[in-house]
Amino acid sequence: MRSRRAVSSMIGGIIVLTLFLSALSVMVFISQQYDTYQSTVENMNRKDIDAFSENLVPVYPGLYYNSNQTETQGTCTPYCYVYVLYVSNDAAIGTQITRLYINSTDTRPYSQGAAGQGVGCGNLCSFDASSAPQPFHFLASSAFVNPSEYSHQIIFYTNSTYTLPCSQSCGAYGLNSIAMVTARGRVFSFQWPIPPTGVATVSYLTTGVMQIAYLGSGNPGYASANEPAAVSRGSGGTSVAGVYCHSESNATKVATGSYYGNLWFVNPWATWTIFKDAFPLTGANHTQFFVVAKITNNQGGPIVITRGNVWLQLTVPQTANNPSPGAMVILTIGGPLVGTYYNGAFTPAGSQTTIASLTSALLVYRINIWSWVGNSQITQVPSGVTYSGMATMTNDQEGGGSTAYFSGSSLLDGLYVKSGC
Amino acid sequence: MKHTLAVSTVIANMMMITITLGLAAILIAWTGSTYGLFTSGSQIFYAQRGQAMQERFTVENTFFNTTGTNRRLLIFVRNDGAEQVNIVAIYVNGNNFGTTGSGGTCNVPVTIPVAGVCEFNVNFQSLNPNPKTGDTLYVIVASARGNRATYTLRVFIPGT
Repeated sequence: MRSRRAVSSMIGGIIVLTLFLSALSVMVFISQQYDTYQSTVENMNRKDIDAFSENLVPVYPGLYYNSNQTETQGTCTPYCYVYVLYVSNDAAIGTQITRLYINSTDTRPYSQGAAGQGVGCGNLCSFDASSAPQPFHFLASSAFVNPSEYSHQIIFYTNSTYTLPCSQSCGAYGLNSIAMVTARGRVFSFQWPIPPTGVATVSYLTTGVMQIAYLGSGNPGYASANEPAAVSRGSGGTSVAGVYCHSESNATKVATGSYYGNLWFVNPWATWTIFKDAFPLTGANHTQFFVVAKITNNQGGPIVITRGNVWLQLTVPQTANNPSPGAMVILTIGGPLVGTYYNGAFTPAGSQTTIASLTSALLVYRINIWSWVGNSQITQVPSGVTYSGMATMTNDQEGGGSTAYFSGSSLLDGLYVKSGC
Repeated sequence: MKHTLAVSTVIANMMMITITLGLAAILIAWTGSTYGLFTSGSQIFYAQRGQAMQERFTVENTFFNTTGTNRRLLIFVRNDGAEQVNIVAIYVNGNNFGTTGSGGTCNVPVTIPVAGVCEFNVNFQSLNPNPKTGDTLYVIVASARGNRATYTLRVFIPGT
């Protein structure tokens, strides 16, 4: 009997052990499946966090357009209009833009009514990435916005008939709804032209003529006496040799603050000559522009200026030889606010300048042009081609943290020319 | 009194062992099949849940197209997940637009590859012939895995 119980115990033990091991293996297998699932969940949660971290913000002016700015490469036949979208990445994570949508609520052409000169995106335009210029596409190389990158440029193209309403400034705002779709599924949109900020819907800053100043006057070649007569707005041949003709007392007052020395305003020809002479640059050679904007506080109360930035854009017009492959140049350079000249005193950037209601001040910005800025780009300008204009755009942050934007007029239309020079 | 055994002791023991082993074999076979079904079921469950979890799609834009008397809603759906998406239904204010109108790039049902985008053209003529400016449309795009993307828009018809 003892031996029989031993056999039965063994058999029973084997059966129980078999059942236990099989159940254990099932539990291990299911645990592995669950772990795989949990890793997927965590992976997707991480992707969600990445997506929620994206933050693209349009930078004034939002879009830049110039009717002389066309593209004939790729499938742009006969040509495409070129737009530049300015956006900043306020997040600490990079973003890839996969598509742009533009819906024009006002389908007036940029010429404000002239027939046949363009239509807006009243039926919704979509722009996908393309490696080469193509109608209704944007350059894939400009799709990536680095973390914390400021004023990233996304270049996109319409065709030869589509231009967005208000492309050449019409005094209205929000005529185009622009949406940027990212690869993570986020959508960031804004209205263009960007409505002014400040009190209510009215910008509390206005600006008159925005001017370019240059430091020093030692090169007689830049005197307006040497400028060709054919240059628009160029008076030509009336200056005293050896100095810039167009000096301005306000600029001298800025210099009185013993901050940078004498600032001289020059005319478009001299500005362009100086600019071209800056290239090619070697080593530490560089030149500087000083952009001076006169602003007026239209608000009922004071505003505080602490810091700001300026952008200067250069374009080359369409001529018989241009556009041609590699000929078109779009160059944007920028610089910070140097300081504010107000009530006879110059306050460096970083310190607060309180501007009383209904008074004006001069904001002075500095742009350093170094060799790395655009040497390769500027050398693509064909010989004999003059520039079509420079647009200056600034933004300033008032002390409360909000931002006011304004833009300057083209130098061709806005340069101060001292009378009697 | 003579006791007569029905079977001998040896045979009785062999029968008991045989019966015990037979029952054990049946028990193990039953548990094995049960465990097998359980494991395969859990594997399929977690695999499907994982695929559904990796499915991401968004309604990135809509546009109300009012060409002529037509009332069409363009719905742009992008697959920004890690799995292809099978769109099986589009609901607008509770109405199932099983087949979208012509003009779009996709009709339901459709499979959108990873990073792909589809333009659905919803024709309102049959279900809601007179949407007007100010109407609110609630759009639901549903996938075969049970996920959905929602979008709310307000109708704007130029000139009205």
